[in-house]
Amino acid sequence: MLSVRDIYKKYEGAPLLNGLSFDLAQGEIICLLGSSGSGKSTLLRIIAGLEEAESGAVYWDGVDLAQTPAHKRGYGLMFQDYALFPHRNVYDNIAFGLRMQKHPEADIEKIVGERLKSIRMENFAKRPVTELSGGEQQRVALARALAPDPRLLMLDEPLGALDQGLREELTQELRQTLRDSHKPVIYVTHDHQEAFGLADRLLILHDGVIVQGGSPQELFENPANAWVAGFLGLGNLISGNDLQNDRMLSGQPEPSNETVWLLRPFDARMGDSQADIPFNFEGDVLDCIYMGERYRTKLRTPQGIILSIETPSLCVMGEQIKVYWQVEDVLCLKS
Amino acid sequence: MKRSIWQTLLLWALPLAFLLVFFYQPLVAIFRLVFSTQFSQGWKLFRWSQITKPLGFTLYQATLSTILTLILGLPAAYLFARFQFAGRKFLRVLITIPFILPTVVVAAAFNTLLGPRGWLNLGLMSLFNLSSPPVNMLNSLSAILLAHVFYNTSIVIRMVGSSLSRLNQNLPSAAQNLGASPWRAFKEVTLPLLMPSILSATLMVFLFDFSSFGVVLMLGGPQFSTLEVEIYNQAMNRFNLPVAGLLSIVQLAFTLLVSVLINRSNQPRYGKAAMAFESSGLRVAKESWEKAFVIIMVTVLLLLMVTPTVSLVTRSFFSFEAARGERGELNTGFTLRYYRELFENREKSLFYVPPILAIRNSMIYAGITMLLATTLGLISVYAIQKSGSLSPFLEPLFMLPLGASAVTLGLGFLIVFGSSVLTQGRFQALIPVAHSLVALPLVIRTLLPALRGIPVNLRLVATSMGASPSRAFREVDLPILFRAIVVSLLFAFTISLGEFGASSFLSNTAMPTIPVAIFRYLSQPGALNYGQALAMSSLLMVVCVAGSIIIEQIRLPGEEVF
Repeated sequence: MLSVRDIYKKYEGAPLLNGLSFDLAQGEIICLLGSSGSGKSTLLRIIAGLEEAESGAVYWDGVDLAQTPAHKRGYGLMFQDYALFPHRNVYDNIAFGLRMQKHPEADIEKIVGERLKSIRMENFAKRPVTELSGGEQQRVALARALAPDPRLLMLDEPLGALDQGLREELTQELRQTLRDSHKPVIYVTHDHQEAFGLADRLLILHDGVIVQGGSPQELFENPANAWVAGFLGLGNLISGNDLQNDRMLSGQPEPSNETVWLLRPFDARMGDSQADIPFNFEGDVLDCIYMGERYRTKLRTPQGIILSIETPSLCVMGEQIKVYWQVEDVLCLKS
Repeated sequence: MKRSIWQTLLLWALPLAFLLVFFYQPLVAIFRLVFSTQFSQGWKLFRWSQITKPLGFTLYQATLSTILTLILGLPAAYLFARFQFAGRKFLRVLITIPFILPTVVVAAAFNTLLGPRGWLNLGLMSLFNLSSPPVNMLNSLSAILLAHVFYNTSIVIRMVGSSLSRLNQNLPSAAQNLGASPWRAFKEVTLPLLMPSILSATLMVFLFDFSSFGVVLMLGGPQFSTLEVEIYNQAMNRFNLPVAGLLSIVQLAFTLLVSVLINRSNQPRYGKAAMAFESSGLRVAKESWEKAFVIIMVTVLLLLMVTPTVSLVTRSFFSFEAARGERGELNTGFTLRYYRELFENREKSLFYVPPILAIRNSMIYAGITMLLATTLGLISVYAIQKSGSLSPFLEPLFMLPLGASAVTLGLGFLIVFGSSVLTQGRFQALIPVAHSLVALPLVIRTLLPALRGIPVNLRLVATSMGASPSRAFREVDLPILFRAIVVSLLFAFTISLGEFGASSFLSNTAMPTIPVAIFRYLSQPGALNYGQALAMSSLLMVVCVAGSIIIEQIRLPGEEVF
């Protein structure tokens, strides 16, 4: 359906998007994950036709959209700040796209009514949008984007402006709405928890390109590099240099500056492995937090390495403990 | 508790007494004169046309001026809010200069551009070898309109431009995303959201055009009379004070009406919802229509907003004819003579008043005004602050002089103090008083936010550490208020230097202020008079520009007075 090819865009002299490409299939929900300032919003604006790329192209069913202006693309975009029209009430905001499509007023009333019902805000039609709460604004913005029946829906950090409790509640609701719409969706966020919960496929944006794409499980099990593992918060990243060099592993690359070991907290085992592997550590307990069922403990080794591990029981601060990782649980990544 | 009430009353006493004697009394005197004369003469004192004619013309020229100002100002606001181009910042500063210029300087500037001895005519005469000036732009409606556009365009640029650059760009983008063409998005979203600021700017410009005095008097010539000019004519030339008073009342009523409208239009309507967190970025013109737009706008702005002042300063350094009494000595070209003449008392010069005397007078008046207005302002803001919940009702008492025009003030002074023994022959002593009244609202608007910004705790800490109230004032308030006080002093000083309306009523023939002298020199024939007027205008302009630059530099952000 949607193909994005070699998008290049500069921001204040430096490349922001550096030859970025990806595809989107019918009915697929993809999450575009990237830290703030990585160009996620800019990419959405380029796809929507609101901004021009310096080079590259956006195709829809094989047709280049370069000559199609924003208002003729039929892509719904929900802005991070919602961009609700402050001079229009809830009803008129949702009806805006339908009016642009010149629907008869009776149809508009019906569609807006349905949309309001689906977000459980039937009584809000005449409310000024400036009087809505954050969560209500978010719902109206989504209803407004969906009302003109766009062929693609793009959401820019839709939950970013809300507080934690509301976020969790609305993630569920959003997932349901997106599934029900059967539309291809590009969902932009910097929060991997949110992305894992929503996406069929995740795309990770870093340094202006997609560094990795795949299902949540694929990414979780095989992060492409140390940056991805760090960004997704998969666990301890220990540089090869920090490990004892005299104990080599057969079949593994030589520990160096180029390699990083991923040691996941829940794979950590207490005690001494007795085996001749480099993943034995001994350190002082810095911190121990109850996470429900298990404890998240922080250790500092004499070399100054900070390790995060999961322990079944409470550790006393300052206590010295030994942990190790089995070779098959450890992942070697490019830095 | 009791004591603090007395203290507050004491604080109120001085500024209130000042306002009662010098503002409300003259105002009441105008009303009393008008109505008592009307009753005693059975409403036959004046013909309606004496009122409707100047009122009609005032409305007519103000409407035309406002429309023209919007035609230039709205695209200019768009230019500065959206486009990046070479010299943008510099041009932005240049176009704010007209707004701060005294009316006499504006009149002089247009005179040097379009007048019979101005650059345009001089150029055409030498180009086509003409013996008389071909273009007669002065004493015409177009001169008035041009000067008003010159004056007020920067209001539109500032008010509309700042809303436009702070407008959340996602709003029109969202409209386009929902299927609106760029033009439709502008019409449905951008324009309605800008409307409140466009409306405020329009009313503000209209108010300034409506109460324009000096510009109309000096550039319009005798056949054009706005209400303000007619008040002056009736009072000063025909000595018909009741009619002048009636005109003042009409003027006051309209001014108050428009001010109320401005106040209402200033209420924030959509609040932060329409505003972005930061102002939207500027872009370099890329498409050909954008390039053409930028080039045309910059050219028009330079021509309309910058050439008059440049023309004034350059013309003050060039002589093209022999001065009277200096036959044979015809030195055309660059000269410093007009500036040297400022210090000489030439008998050929009008009224035998050397310009330096006017400068001295103005300096004295401005100095007194500066101290008087700032002292009164300081007392007033403390009084306002001490009154707590009553202050919203008391504050307008001080702001009202802003609504009364300087000409009305001058007229009121004439009625109240004109025959009083106290001021016999010393009428001009009231000039700093009138100037202080004009400056007081602005001084209060400068000082009040600064005072309100002082955390109460600071004063409490100072007193708890043993400082007496006066010591606390010196140690806490004064250093914090310092900037605002300096800004107030400068405001009052420059306002006094450039004030023309009230001064034209009050100044003694032998003791003119700078603007009054410029007015007289300009309206008299003779190259020397003309040159002296230009030299003084240029100096006045430099002082005003320097003053406003210093004000801009030292005032804290968010303290704009207008």
